[in-house]
Order: sequence, then structure tokens, then C-alpha cells
Amino acid sequence: MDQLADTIQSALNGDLDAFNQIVLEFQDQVYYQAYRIMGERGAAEDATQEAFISAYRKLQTYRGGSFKSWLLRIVSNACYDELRRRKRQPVAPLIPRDDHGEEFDSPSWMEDQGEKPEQFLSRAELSDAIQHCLDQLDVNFRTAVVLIDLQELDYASAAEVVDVPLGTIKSRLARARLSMQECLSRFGELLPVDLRHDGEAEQI
Amino acid sequence: MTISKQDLILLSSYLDSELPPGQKSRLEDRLLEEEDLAEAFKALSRTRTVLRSAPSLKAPRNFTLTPAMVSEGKQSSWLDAFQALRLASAVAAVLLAAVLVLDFGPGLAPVRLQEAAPPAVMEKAAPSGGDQVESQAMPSPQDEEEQETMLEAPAEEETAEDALQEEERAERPEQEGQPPEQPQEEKGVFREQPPEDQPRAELPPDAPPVDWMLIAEIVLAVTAAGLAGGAYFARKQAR
Repeated sequence: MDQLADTIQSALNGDLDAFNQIVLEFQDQVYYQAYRIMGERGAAEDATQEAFISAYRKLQTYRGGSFKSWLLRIVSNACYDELRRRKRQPVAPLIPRDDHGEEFDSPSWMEDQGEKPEQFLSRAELSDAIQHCLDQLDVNFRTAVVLIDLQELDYASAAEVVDVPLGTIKSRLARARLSMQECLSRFGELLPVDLRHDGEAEQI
Repeated sequence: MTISKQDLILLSSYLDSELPPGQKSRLEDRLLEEEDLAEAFKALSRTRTVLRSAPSLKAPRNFTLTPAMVSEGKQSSWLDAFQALRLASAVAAVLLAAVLVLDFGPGLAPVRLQEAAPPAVMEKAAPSGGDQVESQAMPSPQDEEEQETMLEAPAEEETAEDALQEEERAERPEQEGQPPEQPQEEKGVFREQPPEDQPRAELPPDAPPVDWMLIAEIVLAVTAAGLAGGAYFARKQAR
């Protein structure tokens, strides 16, 4: 930890090589956080790079404490910014029209042409199944479960990262876990045997 | 199996050992008695275990920074520069306006004329010493007494404007190649009794007057224009 403090001090003095040592030490965790929030590798890479650039420029605002939490906060904010930016972008209309400009009456166009859960089951690994379920959550709930169950932060650190009261983190985490439980129950075959419910995962 | 939201939060916190001791013991008692609650706790525990067993991902590449990455797109620093330059430009413009007002303002022009007069002439207009220029610009009670005394003498009734005209007359033959005739008395006053506290006495008698107000105007105008230009450039860069 003292070594990290020295490295941070060197980086504060403008030593870019020292900061790059920090990058190498934390880049897996930062990328993992970005990937679990964004759900896409490309977007996660962009958010990670953006977060490290931002961290370098804001390094003087680091006031001690867990450096990992500080970095996770920056990358989480970078992800939120990107998600908000995507929301603001205009999207193609969901309701298709025929050649005469009339809307299709049939709801068949709404049918998911992507793979069904069964198909997904046969291909995906556990990590992808978890990501699939995370993507179904609201970003605030997703962040809570990523910070505590995937990054294994304690409640206080997680609350600090997302800048909310401890009670909010507890509530978000509990509800997120319940949602994850319901979603993951569809991927029982992917779960380790000892984690399946009564032999065949009707429920986790 | 349905549990309340409150119980869900309790179970989740208990799972992470984040419950206070009192709540923890009460919940443990309930878990022994309530089957649904115990079942919900087991399911939640399995979910947590599954999530924590997820393999961690490695970064697909190194995210180390290069000097170019750090320097490019420094919008905030350009914006900071823009703000600073804009403020400095405004201050310089205000100062310039203040100097112009002092320069051309009513009742202030004579001060400038007197300041512009060369020392020899001023000496003649105020033979009592070099404090005359300052005393006319900002008279003190003592100086006012001296002025009154001087005004009583007929030879000392000349104003600074008269002195300037006389100086112009003296300079004209000099420009035409004829040295001006100076009264012996005046030469004597200037050469034999140089005022000790007169800083302008060190200047040669024919040195052009230094117009400090004009210099200040030029400096402030150039400064304001430069700062405004810098602010414009910084704004452009920030965009």
C-alpha cells in the first residue's frame, strides 16, 4: 500500500510512467467493472480508457482511502455518461411500415429474432449468462450487484463509489439479487452441480 | 414463497455479514422458525455464490497512457485560460478607460500640460524648488502657502501655459540652427543651483517631455487587445 502511495505521489508530480504502473495494476478490475455495466466489450474498452485518462487528470482530487474504489467510481461514471449519451441519441422507429407507409398490424415484427434461452443455454458460458441477466437490470441495480458480488466491495465502499447512502445500497443489492436469482434460474444447466437446486435447476 | 421487501434486505445484508448484532440474532431466530424465510435465504445464498463464482475478465489490452493521450483534448485547461484571459482583458479595458478619463477629463488637462513642461521652464515658473509640479497637481497646505507667496511677486505670475509658449519660442531658433539666447539669470539658476530634490533636473534641458499618460494608454490598449485576442484563441481551442 505504501508502494502504491509512492507511485501515486510520483504520478501526481507528472510522472506518466508511474501512473502507467497504476494502470497496469488496476486495468483488469476497471475493465471488468466497465464490461459488466456496459455489457459490450468495445464500449467497455472505451470506458476503461476514458476512465484512466480522467483519473490521470483528476489525480489531485484523490483524498486517500481505497484507490480501487476511487477508480471504480470514475469508470462507473464514465459508463453512466455513455449510457445517458446513448439514450439521448435518436433511434430508429420501432414500428415498421409497409410500402404504402401503413403500419404493420401483425405483432410478429416484435418477435425476438435472436436466440431463444434454450439456444443461449447451449452456447453461452456462465459468465455470459450472468451478463445476460445483468443487462436486464436497471443500471443502478446492476452497478450495486457488480460492485458487491463481482468486485467484492463491502457495502460502505460500494456506497462511496456510487455516492448514495448505505441503506440505498442495501436495498438495491437485495432487489438486484432477487432479479438475478429469477433470471439465472433459466440457465440452471450452466451452474455448477452443487449450486443447482435439487439436482435440476428449476430454481437456483 | 413470497417474502417482504424488508425481509429480503435483511437476508441480503445477513448474507454479507452487514447486519448489526441485534438484528442478526433476531433474524437467526426467525430463520429457525420460518420455513419460507429459510428457503428464501438459501436461494439468495446460491445466487450470491453463482455471481461470485463468475470468472473475472482480463483486460483485452493495456490501457497505459501516452503523452499524446494526456495532452490531447485538454478542453478544461483551454477553458480555464479563456476565463482568465477574458477577465484580464476586461480589467485592462477598464484601466484604459480610467486613464483616458484622467487624460481628457474636465479640469485635468492643465495637470498634464504642467507635467509635460521641461524642468528649466518649470524652474522659471517656480523658482522656489522642484516641488512645484507636484504641488500644483496635488497641493498640500504648506505648498499652498508657498504658492500664495509666489503669486504675490510680479515676476512669478506666469502660468505654465505661458512658460510653454516661451519654451516654444526658445526652441524655434534652435531648430533653425540658431542657438536660443537664454538669459544669464536663468542659466545661472539652472546651472548654479540645481534643485536637489528635482528628479527632472538630470534630464538635458532640451530633452522631449515624457508623456507618461500617453505611454500608459498605449500599454493598456496593447495589453487589452492582446488579452482579448488570447481569450478568443483560447475559446476557439476549447471548442
